[in-house]
Amino acid sequence: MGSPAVPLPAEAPSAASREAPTRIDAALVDALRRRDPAAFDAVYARFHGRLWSFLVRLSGRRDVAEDLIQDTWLLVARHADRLEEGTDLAAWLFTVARNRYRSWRRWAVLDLTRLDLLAHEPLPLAAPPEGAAVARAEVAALEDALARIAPAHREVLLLAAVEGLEAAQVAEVLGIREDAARKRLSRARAELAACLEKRNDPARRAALGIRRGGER
Amino acid sequence: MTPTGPTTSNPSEAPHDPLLARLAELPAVPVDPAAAEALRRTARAALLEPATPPPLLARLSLTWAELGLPAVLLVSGAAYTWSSAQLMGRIFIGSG
Repeated sequence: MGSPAVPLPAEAPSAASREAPTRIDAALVDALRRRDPAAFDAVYARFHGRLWSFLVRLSGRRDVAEDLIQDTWLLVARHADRLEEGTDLAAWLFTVARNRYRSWRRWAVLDLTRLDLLAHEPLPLAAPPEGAAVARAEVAALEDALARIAPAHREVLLLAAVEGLEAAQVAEVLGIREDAARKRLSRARAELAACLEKRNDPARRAALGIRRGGER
Repeated sequence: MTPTGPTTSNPSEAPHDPLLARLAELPAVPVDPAAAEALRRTARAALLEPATPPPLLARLSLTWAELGLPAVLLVSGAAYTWSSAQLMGRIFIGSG
């Protein structure tokens, strides 16, 4: 409440795979509308890994993410011809994936037999990067903190920071205005920082960019 | 002290936010290639399936949800309101 907004990244933060909508995307959308299997394969090759990472981190469970990614791609395939011209491909795909997660979560809350899936402690999900133990601990700390924060905050961090979607894309996926998305990102960042700070060990402090003595 | 980072006063620093930068560098979750290929084939088959009209039960269910149920609720609500007004009139106005 009242948190100042953090600008969502105007550009993708790191990888070439986190691109803005391009002519290639427009061509892929056109081909998907014609149910072109080659276009589907191209979209799948580009986005499957990202959607998988997003869903695993969002749900906190691989078994749930497996069901969700299957539902996502089947929906994409079945409704490809309903795509509108000029659709933002990345935003649409992440919207479908997020909606599948939200639907699953609603049913899990109502279904007592699946309630434990919401309460399970998420395991470390990603393979640690090559390198020092501190780097591995940092990744583990971030993954753990991401799993602990509120789902609404987790999803905005995953979309904006991890997946590098632009502000307009994040807002589209979340179904909110851009300024609201910025505010949510700000609150999410604050919650993540507080969660990391609770542990307060060197690796987590490194993840926050804090040196000894408290300064950045 | 909880670090606040550049979230507040200087928005232009946000792209250099160390926490967000480290989130961007999180490694991808490993994908099982066999499962991914199986899913691609299944979804591709769904893409190539000819569009079929929904089954009768689904159409009936949709019709009920979009027309039948709202109509029932509207009529029963109106009847309840009307009978309540009649009863109130008899109690407080005492017509007859």
